[in-house]
Amino acid sequence: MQEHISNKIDAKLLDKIIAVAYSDAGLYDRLVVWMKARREPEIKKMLDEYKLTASSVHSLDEKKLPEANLKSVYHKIGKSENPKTVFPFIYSSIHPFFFSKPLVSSAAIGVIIITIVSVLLFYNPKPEHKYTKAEIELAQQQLGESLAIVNKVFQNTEKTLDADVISKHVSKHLNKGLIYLNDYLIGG
Amino acid sequence: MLQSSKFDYLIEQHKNKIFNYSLYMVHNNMDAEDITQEVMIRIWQNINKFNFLAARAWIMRTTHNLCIDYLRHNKNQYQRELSIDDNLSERIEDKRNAVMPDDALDQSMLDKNIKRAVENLQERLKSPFVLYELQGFKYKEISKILDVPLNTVKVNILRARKQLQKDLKIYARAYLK
Repeated sequence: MQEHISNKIDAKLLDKIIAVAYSDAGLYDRLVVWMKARREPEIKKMLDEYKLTASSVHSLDEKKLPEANLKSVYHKIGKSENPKTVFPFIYSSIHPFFFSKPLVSSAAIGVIIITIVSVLLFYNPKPEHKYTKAEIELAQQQLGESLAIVNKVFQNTEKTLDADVISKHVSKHLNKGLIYLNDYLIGG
Repeated sequence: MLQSSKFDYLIEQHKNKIFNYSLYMVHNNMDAEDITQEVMIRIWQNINKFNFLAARAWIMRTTHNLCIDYLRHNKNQYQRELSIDDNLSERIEDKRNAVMPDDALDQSMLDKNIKRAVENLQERLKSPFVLYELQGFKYKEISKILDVPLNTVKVNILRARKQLQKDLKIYARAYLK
């Protein structure tokens, strides 16, 4: 490969060109190669050649195993051929998606964990009470009775204040004090 | 029941991968079929012994080991084939001049030659290259399958790409014209 490497393309750049052609390079390397390929036709040509090979390699068909081989294996192990069972169907639907791709499985696990934590932290269901008409009437009645009792207590308190406290303990002493003051002022 | 289902599923998913990998390694349909059958039998025998989620790597490691065993047993024949393919670039050029018109290079012809060029890579370059580029394995998985350091896998894939380009240089240039 040495004959390919000119003054403009050193070994490191060649490695980058190959990586870019095979879609295996990071963003930075891609940018570097792209910029250099724009400026240098030699680099562009080499990149195109590698890209062509890479695309041809990636598009190579997979050869299928002849069915006779499969039957022979099933015969050898003494097992009946039964490729369409429930388990493989479920497994083949789930497994490739969740287990063969680490990024997808990690994302799925992340979403599940975040959902559970969010539900535990923030979900606070408010109890919804639905009262019957009878219960509402009973509550209103009890409220009325309670207010009547409170009203009665206030009335009794007012009466007690008027009859006992103010007249006996306040007015009496106040009158007495005023009489003393009056006597003193008149000069008795 | 579960054992049987697991086996069916694994075979359905991997039979063609096993066959194609063997084919690239041993260059021979019949031998590749034999190796594939042997791998499938080993899957059945070990169905409860390996981790089901890591089955892919286990299956390809078994396939690779069987291919290596096969190549060792047939070393003389293999070396003869390799010596013939030392002149691959010349053969490609000859074939192009003989079969294809100058202005009508066929993509299928290119594919065919790429396949042949891949088959003729050295075993240490071919294994990681086929697993990575054609079978979609990750570097880490290939490192486990081939039991070599991760960096060796990366270096060998890069070398394989360069070698392949060298072998196909003539075709690529003609196709771009």
